[in-house]
Order: sequence, then C-alpha cells, then structure tokens
Amino acid sequence: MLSRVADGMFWLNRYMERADGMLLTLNTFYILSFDKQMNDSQGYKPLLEHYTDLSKNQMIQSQFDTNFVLKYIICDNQNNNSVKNLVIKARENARGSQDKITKELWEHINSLYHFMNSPDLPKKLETHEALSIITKLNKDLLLYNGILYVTMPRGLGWCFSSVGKHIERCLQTISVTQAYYKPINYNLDGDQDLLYWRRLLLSLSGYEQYLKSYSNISHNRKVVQHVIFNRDFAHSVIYTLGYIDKYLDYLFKDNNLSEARTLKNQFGRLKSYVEYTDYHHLTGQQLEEMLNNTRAQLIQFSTDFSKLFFSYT
Amino acid sequence: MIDLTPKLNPNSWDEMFSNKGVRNSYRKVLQTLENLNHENLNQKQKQAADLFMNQGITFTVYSDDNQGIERIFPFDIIPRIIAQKEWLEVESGIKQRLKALNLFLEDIYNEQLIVKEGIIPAALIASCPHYIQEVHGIKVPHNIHIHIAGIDLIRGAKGEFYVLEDNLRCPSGVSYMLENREITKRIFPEMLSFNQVSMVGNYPMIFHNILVSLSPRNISNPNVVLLTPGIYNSAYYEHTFLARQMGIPLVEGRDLVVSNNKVYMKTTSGLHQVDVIYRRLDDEYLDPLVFKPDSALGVPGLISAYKQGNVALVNAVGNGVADDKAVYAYVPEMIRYYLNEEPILNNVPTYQMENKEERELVFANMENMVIKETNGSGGYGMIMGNKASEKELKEGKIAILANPRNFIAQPIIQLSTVPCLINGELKLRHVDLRPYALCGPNGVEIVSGGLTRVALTEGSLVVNSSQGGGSKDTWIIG
Repeated sequence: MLSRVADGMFWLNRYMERADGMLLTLNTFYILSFDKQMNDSQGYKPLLEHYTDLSKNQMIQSQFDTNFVLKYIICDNQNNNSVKNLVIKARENARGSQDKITKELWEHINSLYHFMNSPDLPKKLETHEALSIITKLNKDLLLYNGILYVTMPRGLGWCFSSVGKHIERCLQTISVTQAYYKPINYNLDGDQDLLYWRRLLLSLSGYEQYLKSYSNISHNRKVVQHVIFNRDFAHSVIYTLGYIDKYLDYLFKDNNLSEARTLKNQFGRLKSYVEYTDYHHLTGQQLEEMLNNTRAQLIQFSTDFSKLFFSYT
Repeated sequence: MIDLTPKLNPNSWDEMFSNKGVRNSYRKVLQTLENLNHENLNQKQKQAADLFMNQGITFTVYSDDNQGIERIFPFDIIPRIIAQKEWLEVESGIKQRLKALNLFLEDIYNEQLIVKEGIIPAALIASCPHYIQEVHGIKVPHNIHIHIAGIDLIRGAKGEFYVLEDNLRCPSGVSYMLENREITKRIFPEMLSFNQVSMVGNYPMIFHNILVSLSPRNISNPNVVLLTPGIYNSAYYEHTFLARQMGIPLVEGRDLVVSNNKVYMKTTSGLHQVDVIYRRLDDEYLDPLVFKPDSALGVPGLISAYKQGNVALVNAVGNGVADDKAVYAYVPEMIRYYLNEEPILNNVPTYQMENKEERELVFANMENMVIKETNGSGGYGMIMGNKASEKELKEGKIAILANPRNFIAQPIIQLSTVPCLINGELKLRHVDLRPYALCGPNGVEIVSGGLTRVALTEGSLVVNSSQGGGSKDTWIIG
C-alpha cells in the first residue's frame, strides 16, 4: 500500500474517531444541562479542556455557556478541532485515499461534509433544533463506524485505519478520565456519587455497561477499573491497546526491518505497563502517573509509527 | 403536462425533432416524457443533482472569503440519442483518424517523412510548443502513441458530423460518460430498458487490458498506476473514479521515485517497481529535470526511465503536436498520405492565421468566424465573432498580428440542438459529442456512446464545463 494512502487512512480514522468522541461528550453534557443539577462545578470544562485550544480564561468564561459551546464545538471555523473542521480534514484524507476506501464510505463522509458546510447550520444551533442536529451527527458517526466495519476490505488499509482509530480512542479515554480525577486530586478512596461519574461514563459510551457490572467497590476505584482495565469495554485503555497490538502483529508479520522490531518492542512495553498494573492496590498518585505516562508513550509511539510507515516525503 | 414540441431553429439540426415531428430514435423517449408532469420531471432533475452531489462529483468554487462551495457539473436528464447506423459511420471515421494520427506521431518523432515530402510544413512542426524534442527517436511499446483519445464532434445544419478537435494528451470527461449512465439508470430505468441502449460500462475493463499489455516487463501482474496532480485538481474525481474502476493505485508525483532509470512507488513495505503509468499530468509537469524545474507534481528522472523503456507512459509524451489546432487542418492530408484513403469524417474548414491571404479573409469576415488559440483548451481565449464586441474583435486582431502562429479561425457552425429541461420546460440547447477511443495492440476500440456536452445558455455555442456547460447521457440505439 502507498505510504501516503496509508497515512491518509490512518488520519481519516483518527479525525472521525475524535469527532465521534467529542460529539458523544457534547451530547451527554448538553442533555444533562437540561437538569438543574447540584454540584456541577465543571459544566462543559472537560469537553473544552481536551478537545479545544481555548485559554484558561476563555474556558472559565464559556464553560457554562451552552450556546457558545454548541457552535464552537460543532461548526466554528476558527476552532481547529470543531466537528466541521475535523470532517473537512477527514474528507481531505478520504479524497487522497479514495481508491482504497469503499464507495459507500466515501459517499457517507461526503454527505456529512455537505451537511457540516450548510450555511444555515450555525443559526439552527441557536434554536430548538440543536438537539436534533447533535443527535443526527451522533448517528452519522455511528453509521460511519458501521459502514467502515461492514464494507471495508480487511487488509493493510483496514489495519492502518484501525490503529489510527484506537490510538485516538485511547487518548480520548485517558484525557476524559483525567478531567474527572484531577478535580478530586485522584482520590481513589473518595465517595463521589454516580451522578458525578455518570458524565464521564456516558461520554465514553460506558454507562450502561458500568451499571451492569455494579459492585460494592466505591465508584472512585470502580470507574478506574472500568475505563482503564476492563477488557470487555470497547473504550477502555486496555481494550484499545489490545486492538492496536493485534493490528501491529499483522503489519509487522513480514517486516524484518530493525526499526519495525524496535517499534514493536516499544509498544509491547507500553501495553505491559498498563496490563500489569495492579489496580486493586493502585494509589491516587500512581494513577496520575500511569495516565500521564501512558498518554506520553502513546503519543511517542504514534509519532514513531508514522515515521516508519508514512515517511513518503 | 409540459410542452413537448419546442420551436425549432431553422439554421441548426435538432436531434429529437425534424419539421415532420419526432425522429424515430426518440419516439419511445418522447412517449415516456409525455406521461410525466412538471413535478415528476423536476423531481428527477433534483434526484440526479443530489446523486452527483453525494458522490462528490463536484468542483469547488471559491468566494472572496476563500470559503469553498462545492458545485456539480450540470446534468440534463433528457438523453441524447444517436442511431446505430450513424454511429457506425462515426466509429469508422474515428478509427481511421486515429490510425493516421498515430502513424503521424511515430513518423514525426522518428523519420519525419511527412515533412520531408512536403505534406506538412516543417516550420509548423518546429513552431509547435508541444513538439517535445527530448523524445525524438523514442520507440514506444507497439508503436502506439495515442492510447486514449477524446474526439470532439459536432453536427452541421444538415446533420452531417464534423471533427471539431482531437484531444490526444489527457482527454477528460470519461467518468461523466459512465456516471451519467448510472444516474439515468436510477431516474429512468424503464426508458433505458425499452430502448435497448448500448453499454458503456465496459470502458474501464478495455482500458485496463490495454494498460496491462503495455508493460515493459514480461510478468503476469505488472504494476499499473494512475498518476494524478492531486486532490485539488479539478478532474480529481475522475482520477479516483478510474483508479477505483480499474483497481489500480492512484499515485501522486511524491509517491514515486526513480532509481537506476526504473520507477518505484513508495509503499508501507518499501519500494515497488512501476511498469505502466496512466498519467493525468501534462507533459510539461512530468519531470522537473527535463521540463518545468519548479514543478512539484512530477517525478525527477521519469523521462529518462521512459526513454530507457523501463516504464510505459499513457498517453505517450509529445502527443500535443498532433492535436495542435494548426496541425489539425492537416489531418485529412495525413489520412491520405499514410492510409491512402479519403477521410470518412470531415474537418471544419480551418484558416491558418500565419497565411496572409487566409488571415485577410478572416479579418474581413470576423463576425462569422470563431478564433481559437492553437494550444488553448476549455474554451479559454476563444473569440466568437458573432458575440464579441468591437473592442474584443480589435484586440483579437492585434493579438493575431503579434503572433499569427498562435491562432486559427473557423467559420461558426450552428451546432445541433437537443431539448433540455430548463426551469421545468423543454428548451433547445446546442450540443457536441466526445466519444472516447482506446488504442491497444489489438487495434482501436470505441465504447458505444460518449460525452454529450451542452451549452446551457440560450443561443450559446460554447459547451465547455468551465464556461457554464453541462452534460447529457448519450445513447446509441438500434
């Protein structure tokens, strides 16, 4: 496969996964904003912190301003990570790899692009239509994943797409988790109630699954177990690392370059670091370190992965 | 019901109606249209536009704030029909023409007998900017220089076909021919099946077989790629469409590298040798070491690999000399010289502005002439004598006198008309026809159909998409 095309498919899926995660978080926060909730000191802050470049002051000013957040997150041209800009970048990558993605996938991205560029979208977000727009976008992203899964051939393109998607998902899970543990100083023995954790879990599509595996362990520790170490939760850190590992095996199977071996080892160490962490006896400080280290190592891995496979210029 | 009998223009041939009523080939189409009301037709037109938009068959228009707006190339839902009997004549005319043009290119880049024998003036070739000296003496696989050609045809007032120009470099538009048919299948399925329309969908398969046959390496699965300038090129959709239809990689110049006079593509598992390149880049952008040194679109060293015979380029380099509008006037002579036959398809009478007598004749009749740049395309730089202002005509004369080799003139021919659905009504609009011919070791194959381009502005004779033109599905029936 052409390096440029592999690069395009990798980033196409990173951007779409980012848009998906961001919209899910936005949807969660927006719907919960209709409840007059006590103890909500954060508002949209976790969303703005991870997904935007807003300064601290700007964030403080806008963390409770629904109108601003909706438009800024969905269609602001100045926000590099707005859904609109992510879809534009995703489509550009899809165009560059159009001969390797399916017609169905291309047409879906293309119609989403046209929707995001419709001139009346920002106005509509100021009206009662906002929720139906967010719902539509959430469904479009779900549909994207479905079309990707059902129509794309399994091969190199699929592997690069999947590695991109899971790196992005893993980074999102780490960041959103940090956004909820940081305000409570990573206190794993605290007694934050389910309402506090509900926002995090809904943003990661993991609320129902969490409820089903409810136990006597306090939420503060149980949530860590769920979002970081649960192998059956599709957004958990360990699950996403497992998928990256699986596709790396495929990509490396006929590659005898020493750089490939080095990269494989690098990833192996990262995965083992999470895999062999004893979460039952984890302290708050260790959790903070682990999240920071995993994030830093994954970003480094992504850079090295790109250098090995995509260095075509 | 809509009015299905538009007023005919006495000076031009209408494809659907004669003075006696609807032509035979259009009878069944008219019957279908008679059963549709305004609303049905408008709905179908909108359905077609949505299909084009969702598939990304668009071009981008940039506004002042640099915001790109995607537009489709207008598609008119009413098909253009050519009867099989007429088509066979067109087909044999194009085959004859391409055979001669191919022999001309082989000759002009080697022996140059046609010049030595005084059939074509040496000065005309020497002054042609698309005569590529760097490939003089080259031997191309199977002696084929033109693998794909788009021949623009028009019909005169009596319905006779003329060749307006030969596109022998990177003819575009074939994806529209194919997509127009797919869209028609969705909006008029019953009309298509009633009329027994010849297939166009075999084009990618025929073309792919030709590309594979050109491989310099005798291997079962040669590496064939399509070279595109990139995603910002206006024909990028077509490049992706063809690559996908043929199952070949779509590459950009930066994906390729030349080493030891061999071309390789950069893949995730290292360098892979490339055997055949269907390039959609003009000659001058192919190789910065030979042509434009600042071009980032091409591949350094490509021409050297090509001359060594290690890679095949489709179309061959240097074909521009054969579709220069001044050389066009000599194609009938080429047919006589190389094939010893009379041309089946006529040229439009063409006046060379280098020739003083012809130039004066044109200057005296500017209002009846169309002036074209010999190496222009897309309708740019064209002066329609009957539409141009006094000032434009004057400026045109000055430009011609400054560089007469750069211009030719032709009498304005009223192109044939076909009814189009304009604002919910049938209106006559002028059309041309671009059939696509493919040349391989087994001869010339022409897919039964082509791209009908239509001038959507009332009375306009300019069909180019860049000048507000649209397109129609083209049916060969009978």
